[in-house]
Amino acid sequence: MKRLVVARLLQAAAVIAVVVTSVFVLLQFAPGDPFAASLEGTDIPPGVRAEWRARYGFDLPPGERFVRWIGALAHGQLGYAASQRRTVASVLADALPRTLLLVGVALILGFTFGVLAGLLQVRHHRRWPDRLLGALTLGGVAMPEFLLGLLAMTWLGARWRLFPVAGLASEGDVNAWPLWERALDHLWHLALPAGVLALSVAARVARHQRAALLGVMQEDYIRTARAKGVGAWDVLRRHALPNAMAPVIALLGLAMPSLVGGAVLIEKIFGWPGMGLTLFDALLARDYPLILAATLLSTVVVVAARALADLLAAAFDPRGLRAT
Amino acid sequence: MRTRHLLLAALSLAVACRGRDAGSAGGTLIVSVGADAETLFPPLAVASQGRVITELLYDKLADIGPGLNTIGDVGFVPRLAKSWEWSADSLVITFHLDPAARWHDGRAVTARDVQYAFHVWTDSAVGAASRSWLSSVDSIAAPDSLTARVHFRSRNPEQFYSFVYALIPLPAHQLAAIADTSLHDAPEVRAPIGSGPFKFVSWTPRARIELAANETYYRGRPKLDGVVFSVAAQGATVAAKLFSGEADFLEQLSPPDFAQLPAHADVRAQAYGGFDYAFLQFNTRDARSAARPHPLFADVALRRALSMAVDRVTLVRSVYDSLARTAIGPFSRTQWTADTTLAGIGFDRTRAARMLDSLGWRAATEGAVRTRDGRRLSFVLLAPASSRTRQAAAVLLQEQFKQVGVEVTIESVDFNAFMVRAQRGTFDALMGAMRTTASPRGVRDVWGTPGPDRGGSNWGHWSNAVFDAHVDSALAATGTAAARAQFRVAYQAAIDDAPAIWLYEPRMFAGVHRRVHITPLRPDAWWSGIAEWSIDPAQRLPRDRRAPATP
Repeated sequence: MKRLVVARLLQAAAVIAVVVTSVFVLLQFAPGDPFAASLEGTDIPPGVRAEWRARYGFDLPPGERFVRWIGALAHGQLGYAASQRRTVASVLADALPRTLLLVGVALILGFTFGVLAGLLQVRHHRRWPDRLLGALTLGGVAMPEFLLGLLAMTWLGARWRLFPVAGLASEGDVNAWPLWERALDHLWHLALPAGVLALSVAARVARHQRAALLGVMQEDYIRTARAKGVGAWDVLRRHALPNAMAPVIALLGLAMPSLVGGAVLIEKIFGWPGMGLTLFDALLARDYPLILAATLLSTVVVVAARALADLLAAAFDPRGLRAT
Repeated sequence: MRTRHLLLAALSLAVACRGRDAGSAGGTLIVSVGADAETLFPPLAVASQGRVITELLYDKLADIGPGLNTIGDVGFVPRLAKSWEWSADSLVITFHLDPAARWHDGRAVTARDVQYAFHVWTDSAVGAASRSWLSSVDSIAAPDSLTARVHFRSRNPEQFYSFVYALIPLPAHQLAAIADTSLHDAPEVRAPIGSGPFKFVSWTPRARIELAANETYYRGRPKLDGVVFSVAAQGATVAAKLFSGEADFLEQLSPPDFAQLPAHADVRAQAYGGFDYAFLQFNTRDARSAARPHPLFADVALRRALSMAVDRVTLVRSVYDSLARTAIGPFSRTQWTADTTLAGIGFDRTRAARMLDSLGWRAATEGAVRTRDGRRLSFVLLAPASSRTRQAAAVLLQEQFKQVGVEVTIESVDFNAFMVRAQRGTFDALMGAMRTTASPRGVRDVWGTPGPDRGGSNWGHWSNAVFDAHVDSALAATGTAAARAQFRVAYQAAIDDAPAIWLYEPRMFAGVHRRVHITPLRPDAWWSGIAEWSIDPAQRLPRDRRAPATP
């Protein structure tokens, strides 16, 4: 286990270094800076633009900018987000908890409903609940999250007014509300973005769960349990499910990059100012300190989740650990 | 006796009005916006959102009148300055501050605040965007706490407008202790103390900015209890917030938003003048080397022929339906210098084709791309991916040019890259749009011959001596009639020389929830009358019931 942890940490460090360097190199092919995009229609003299660029170091050669950024990072400083006129650390301190909440809730909901759907499908194998859920999960996997998000926003938000369209909280004097009321309001605003992300996760988990359970159900010990008169649900829940969890947990590790990627679009659609939206806006503004820091943090989150999923899967099925 | 009755009637009316005002005061206006403010520090607020909010937080010395005149001080209305007077030679303007004016922390607004603001605006360490507007101001003296005497180095017709618009008094007692180099991100400028009708309450970056009514505002308390700018991250969501009832106001409805209006009876569209115009701009210099003329667009006859090949009426109807008008020239109809009688280059596809033939650009067969000396009549049209309307217009232009044998390739790039390419001049032609202001002088920067004092945003490097001379004369004219006459000649020169194909001017329509009563929207600043807006007490929502918290 110790060797696995060390190997995963080394891998993670290498992945993070490669990702951040690649992002910086790729950024050099995209012209612009935070002060180019906001200038259409304004008569800002070129001298003032040059002053702004010089103040935030956008006039330096790319190599020097990267070395400076790495140097500052080594001292625990993430730099200055010129597009938001505040430190990168304060931007990320606002954004990261929101994304962790969004992705965390989506993951819990998606995992729970996915596993339940998989169980239900196997319990009713080749009957209408299996077929219906199979079609729904196929649709869930096939439908892009942004399309689902736009449909949910248009119909459940703007048309039927069942959920808030966007934002973190209700408008008005929210700060005067009791804490529990604010928390409920926050969750209510989380419903659509987290629900859309969760649907996508649930669809994938359900399909994997069904396949894994069907494989396990062919095993001898299941036949033995049935022969001993154990009920169908108990067979599924107590004997098949624990042995079919390892691939699903591994899937969660694999799903993290796409979940974080999906959160970018979902945050954009629902105005949820988390890491995704921050990264999206920073990319449009070419705010490279913010882009690099957000990429770094997102990569750390993804790599950590992946490593955690590997360790959990190994804990569920030590055979994989021995193979490693 | 009759006088007594009149007095009583007037008194009753005044009491009734006062009672009605008191009764109708209240409610929180939720404005749905597509972007957050980049800063709330007036010298650095250049993007529209920052400007809107800073102008609600901070008052100017004087404000432009409904006529949007920018010459002299005709029509300007007092704000922090109760009155002003000019010296005989127009080189000194003395502003008398309103003794009732207070900062939001209760301190009096003084002439020292005007002096301090001048220092901040003109210090290059701060990097104020509108610093050049104050280039004609020499110094500001403060003979007493309520008098600010502004000394100008030179006279110009817009010196009053430039001064009161570029320089917003800042609270010296709060900011003077902060080094100028640190002002841009000082905590104090993220929680500003202003002098305007609304006070700062809170700012959740990328989510919302909350303002509350300034109860002790020297010009009377605003009718609203507060204003919240609710940030949505993309166009469809911004409108969806209005249609779902989560927001009360949206600055501009797009054509797709308009299509949704019939399904939402509680939302109405409010028309107001716009300052935008869009165009296809030709680069007259080679995209690879600005030292060389462009192989195609240095030729004015070719530019004119291409202009003639464009059916702008059909194009505008296709993209905007009736929500835009065809543009006339390098100005917007809302500007006071606008001239709708100018002769444009009319649409005539047959004549355009003949002109191209006469220039030597001929097609081997019908429908083929024209060539001359082995070179195809082909160019790349740069368009910003962020603008759906400009993208749509580019596609229609491509089709219209194809009908006269001109090949157009659309290059769609993100807005930042678009702006960089435009500023560097690395394009053949681009889909441009300009937001003008009440002042016409921006035309010199956008269309004037590039040089130290003009043409900074003339991305196509078009140069016309007649245009330059007449714009200079117009901007130096002290009367509007003389200025208009000069602008007419300049604009006509621009239309005739066709540095661009003038495409459309969007009509501005705000989306307003019916529960909100608004005043007429000023074209240059829809928010200017927001202190007078009110929310019908019978239609208040739970979110209106409690006043926003004070800091």
